[in-house]
Amino acid sequence: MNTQTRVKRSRLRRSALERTVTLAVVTGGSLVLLAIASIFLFLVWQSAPLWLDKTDLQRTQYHTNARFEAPTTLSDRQLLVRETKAQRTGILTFSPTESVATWRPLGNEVALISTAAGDSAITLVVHEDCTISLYEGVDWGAPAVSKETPSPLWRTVCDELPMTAKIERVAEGRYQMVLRYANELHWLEAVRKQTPLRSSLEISIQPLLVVASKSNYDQHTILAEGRWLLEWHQQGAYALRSADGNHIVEGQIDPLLPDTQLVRLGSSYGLVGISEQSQWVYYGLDQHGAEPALALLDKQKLAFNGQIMAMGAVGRGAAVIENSGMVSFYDPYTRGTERIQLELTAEHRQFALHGMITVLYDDSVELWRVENHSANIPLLSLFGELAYESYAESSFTWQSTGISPLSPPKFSITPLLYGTFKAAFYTLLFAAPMAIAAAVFTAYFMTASVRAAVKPSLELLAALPTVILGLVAGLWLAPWLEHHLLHVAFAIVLIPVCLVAMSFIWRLSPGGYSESQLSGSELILTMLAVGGGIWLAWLIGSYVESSVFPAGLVSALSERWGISYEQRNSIVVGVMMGLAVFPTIYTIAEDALFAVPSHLREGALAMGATEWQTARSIVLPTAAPGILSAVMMGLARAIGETMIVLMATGNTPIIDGLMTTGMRTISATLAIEMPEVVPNTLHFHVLIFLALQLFVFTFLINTLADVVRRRLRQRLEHL
Amino acid sequence: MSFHTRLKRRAQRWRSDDAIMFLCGGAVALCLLALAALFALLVDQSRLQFWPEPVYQWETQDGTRITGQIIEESPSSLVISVGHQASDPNSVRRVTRSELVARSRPIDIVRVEHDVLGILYGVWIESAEPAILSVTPEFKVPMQGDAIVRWYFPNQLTIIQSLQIFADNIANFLFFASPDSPSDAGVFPALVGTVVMVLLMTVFVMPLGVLAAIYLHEYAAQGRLTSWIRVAVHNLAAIPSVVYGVFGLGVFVYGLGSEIDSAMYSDSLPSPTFGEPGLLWASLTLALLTLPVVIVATEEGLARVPRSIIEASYALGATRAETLFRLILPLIGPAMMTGLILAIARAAGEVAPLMLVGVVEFAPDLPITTDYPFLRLDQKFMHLGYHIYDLGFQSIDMEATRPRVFATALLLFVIVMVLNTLAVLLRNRLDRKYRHLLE
Repeated sequence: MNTQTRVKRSRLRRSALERTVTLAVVTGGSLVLLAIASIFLFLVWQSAPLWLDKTDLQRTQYHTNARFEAPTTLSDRQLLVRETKAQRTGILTFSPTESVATWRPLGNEVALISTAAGDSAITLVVHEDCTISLYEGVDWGAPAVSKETPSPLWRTVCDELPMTAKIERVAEGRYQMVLRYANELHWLEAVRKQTPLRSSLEISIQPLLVVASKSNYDQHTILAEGRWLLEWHQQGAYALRSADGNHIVEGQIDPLLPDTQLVRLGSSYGLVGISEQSQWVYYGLDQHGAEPALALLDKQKLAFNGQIMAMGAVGRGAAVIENSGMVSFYDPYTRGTERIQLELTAEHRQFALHGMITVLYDDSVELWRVENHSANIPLLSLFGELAYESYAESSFTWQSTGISPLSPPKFSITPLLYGTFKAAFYTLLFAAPMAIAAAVFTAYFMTASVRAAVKPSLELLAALPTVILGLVAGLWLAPWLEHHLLHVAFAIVLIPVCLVAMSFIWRLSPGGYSESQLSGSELILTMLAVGGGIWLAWLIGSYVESSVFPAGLVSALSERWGISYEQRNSIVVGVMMGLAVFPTIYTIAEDALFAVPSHLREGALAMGATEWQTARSIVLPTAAPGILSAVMMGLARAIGETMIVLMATGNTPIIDGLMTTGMRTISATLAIEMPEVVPNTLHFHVLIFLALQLFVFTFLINTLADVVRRRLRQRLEHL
Repeated sequence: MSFHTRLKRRAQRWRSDDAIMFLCGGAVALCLLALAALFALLVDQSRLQFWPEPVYQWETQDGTRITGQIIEESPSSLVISVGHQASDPNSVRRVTRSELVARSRPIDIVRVEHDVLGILYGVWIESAEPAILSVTPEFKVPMQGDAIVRWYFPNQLTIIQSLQIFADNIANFLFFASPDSPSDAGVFPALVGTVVMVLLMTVFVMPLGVLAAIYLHEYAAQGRLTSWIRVAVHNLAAIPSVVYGVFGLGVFVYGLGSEIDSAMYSDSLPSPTFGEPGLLWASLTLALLTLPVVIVATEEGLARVPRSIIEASYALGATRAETLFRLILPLIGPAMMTGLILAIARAAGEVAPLMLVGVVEFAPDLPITTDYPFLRLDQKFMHLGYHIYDLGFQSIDMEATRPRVFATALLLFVIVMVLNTLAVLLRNRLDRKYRHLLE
C-alpha cells in the first residue's frame, strides 16, 4: 500500500467519524432539549381537557321483535315497556353478547314497578291484584335467569292500589320504599339480613312512617341517606319529613318547568331541576339551620329549542333530551353544562333517562352510556367561591375526594394558591433579610480567606435534602416551638440588641480597626453575641413565662386573645423553608454585591463617606437588581418546595393569613394526591393544571430574575 | 492618658456603621450556628439507635415501676422505650414528670434483644437453667439460646464495650435487611434502593447531559436562540421537583409504560408490568430532573477550556470530532465529574418526584438479584429520603421509630454533604488546573 492511499483512507475515515459525531451530537443535543420542552408541552396538553373536553357517549343498539312504547329504565340491562299492539307490560332485557333484546311480558297484573339498582339490586312490584312484592336482583323477569316468576323476598296485600311506588337504596343493605295512596303515604324500610349463604336472602321490613298525605304533593324522593323524605309539587312547594315522624318542614323553591322533575344525585344530599325560567337549578339539603331546607347552590342557563321529552339522572349529573336528540347535561361536580347532539337513526322514537339515555324505536333500542365524563370546568368553579351540599355557607373549598364516594368533590384551587403564597411569604420574611444581611457581610466586610471558607459552607445548605429539614421541622421544631414560643419571641428582639452591644464592646477593646480590613475575629464576636442573645432570651423567656403565662404562651394565645395555634404552623414552615431558601438568595446576592467594582467603593471612602454611607448609597443601589433577582429566585424555590411544607404543616386547605396556622400548598397537594388519582379524570386534569401553574410561576420568575441579572452584569461591565 | 480617657476616646469612635456590620455578621453567624445545630440535633436524636444508653428505673406515684431508656425529654414529660411488656402492646410510654417520684440506675438490669419479642429489659433470675429473664415480677420470659440476638448489662459497660456495641449497631443499621417490615432493623433495603436508582439514573443522565452541553457550547450557532435555550436550561434546574414527578407519572408510567405493556407484556394485562410506577421510571424521571445540573456543570467546564488550545488543535489540522475526543473531553473530565457528583447528591436527596413514580414504604425484595437479568426495572423500591418521610410521618408507632428516623436522616445528611464537598473540591482543582494552562 502506498502512502497516498493510506492518507486517502485515513482522510475518509476521519471525515466519516467527523460526520457521525456531528450527527450524534446534534441529534442527541436537540433531543435532550426537546425532552425538556416536552415537560411544558405535556402539562399544557393534559390541562387542556379542562376547557376542551367533551363527554363521551357509547352507543349500543339492540333489535326488538315488536313495537313498544312508554319506556322506563329499570337498570342498565332492563327496560320496562308496553307492547303497543297487545298493550301488555313487560321487560326488555339486553345481554352484552346478543344483538336482539329479549322480551318477557309480565302479564297485565303488574301495575307499578321500581328497581333500586346497585350491587345487590331489589325490585319492587305492585300487582293489579293489590299484592306488593320485593324481588331479588335486577334480572327479575329475564328468561335467562329463570323460566318462572321467582318467589318474592317479601309480599304483602294492600287494600287499594298505590298511585306511585318507589324503592331506593339508601345504604349498604338498606332500602327504603315510598308508596303513595290517595290519602296516605307509606314510608317503609327494607333491611337485608346478613345470612351466611347468599342464596338464602332474607329481608325485614319496618314501617317508618304512615301519614295522611296532602294531595298537592305529587312527587317524592328520599334524601340524606334515608333520614328525610322530600315531597314536592311542580309549582315549587315542598315538604321535608323526618323518618321519626316528628318533623315536617314546608318550603318553596322556584317553580319547575313543565315535563321536568327534580333529580336526586348520587350523594343523596343534592337535587337538580330546571326552573320555569329554563335554568338548571342545583339544590342541596341544608341542615345547618334550626330546620332543614333546600338551599339553592347553583344556577346555570339551559338553552333548548325543541320540546323536552325526558329528564333524569345520567352519569354523575342530570340530563334532559329534546325531541331532536339534543341532550343537555348538567354536571354538579364542575357546575358546567354541555349539549351533545345524538345521531338518531329513525324518526319515531321515545326516550327514557335513568343512568343512561335509552332511545326506543319501532324495531330497535339504542342505549347511550356515559363512557367518560367531561373534564370541562368553568373558571368560576376552579377559582371561585361556591355553595356546596351540606355546607352552611359558600366557600373556597378544596376537597378532591368527597366525604362519601358519591358526593361531589370540591375543586376550588384558590386555597391552594393562597397556601402556596402564604408559605412563600413567611419563608421570604425570614430568609430574605437574613440572606441579604449575610451577603452584605460576606461581600463587604470579610477578608478574602474567611470568605473562601464561609461562603462554600453556607452554600452547602443548598444541597441539604429538604426531607431532612422537613423531618426536623415536623418532629422536632414544631413540638419544641409550642413550648418555647415566648423564648423565640424574646430571641428575635434580644439577638440584635446583643449584636449592637457587641459592636460597642468591640470598639472599646484595644487595637486599631480600619473598617475595610477586618480580621476573622469579628465573626467569632458576632457568634458570641448571637449565643449571648439566645442565652438571655432563654433566661428572660423562662422568667416571664412562669410569672405571666403560667399555662404557657400558646394556651394564653387561644384563651386570652382567641388566636388559634396549630402545632405545625407558618412559623415552622417559614423558619425551615427559610433555611432551604437562604443559600439561593445568599449566593446570588453575594455575587452581585461582590461584583460591584471596588473603585466605586474606594472612591466613596476616599471622599470621606463612612462604610455604611458607601454601602447604602453606592454599593447597594448598584447591586440592587442583583439582590432583587436573588429574592425572586428565592421566591421561586419557596413556591416549589414540597417536602418541607408536606411535613411541617397540617396540609389543611384553609384561607387564613395567620402566622400560627398551617396551609396546604400546590406542591404538597400534588405529592399527596397525584399517586392516588385515576388518570384522565377531572381530578387528574385539575392536578396537572396545578403542576402547570407551578411550572409557569417558577419558570417566569426565574427567567425574569435571569434577565434582571444579565442587565446588571452589562451595566457593571460599562462601569 | 488614663485608661478611662482611652476607653472614652474609643467609645467615641463607635458609629452606627459598626452596629450594622455586626447585625449583618449576626445573620452569617446565625446561619452557621443553625447548620451546626441541625447536625448536632440529628446526632443527638439518633443517639439511641447507636449508642448503648443507660437504662433507668423510675418509681411512679401509684407505686409501679417503669424500666427503660429515654427516647425524648421535655421539661414536662418523658418518652420512654420500655421494651416488650406482657400487658401493653405499646413499647413506648409517655409519662409526665409529675407522675414520677424517683429515678435509679440499677446495675443488674439486662437489655435483651429477642428474636420474636423485640427488646426486653429485666433482670436474670439466679441459678435458672435455661436462663429466665424477669421483666416484671409477674412477667418472666424463659430464654432459649437461639432466640437471643444479643444481650448486655447496659449500666455496667466499659467504654470499650460501649464502642463495640456502637460499632455493632452501626453495622446492623447499615447492612442488616429485615424481610418482614419497614420499621424493624436497618436501612439496608432503602440504601440499596437509593444506590441502584441513582446509578441507573447516572447511566441515563451522563451521556445525555454531556451531549447536550457539547451541542450547546460547541456545535450550535451562538445566536440569540442558543442563548435563550441556555437560559431555559438553567431555569429548568429551578422547576419544582414535584412537577418532574407529575411529568414522569404522566409520560413515562401512563404513556410509555402502558405502551410497553400492551406491546410486550400483553399476557399479564390488565395487571400492569411497566404501566405502574417502578425503578426504571423513577431513574428516568430523576435523570430528567438532574439533566440541567449536568449540562450547567459541563458547560461551565467547557467555558473554562482556553480557546487558544482548541484553536491550536484546529490549526494543526484536527477535525472537530478529533478535537472533541482527544482534547476537550479529557480536559473537562473533572467538570463532568463535578456535574455527576452534584447530580447524584441531588438525586439522593430528592423525595417528592419519587413518591409519584416508584418509591414505596416497604418493598420485600431488593431491586437487584443474583439471577438474570440482575436488575428488576419494573419493581418498586425503597429510598432513604422516602423512608424518612414514611417512618417519621406515616408510621403508627412514631415514637418508637423516632431514633431510627433521625439516624436515617443523619445517614442521608452525611452522604449528601460528603458528595457535595467532593464536588466543591473537584471544582477547585479544576480551577487550579486551568490557571496553570492559561499562564
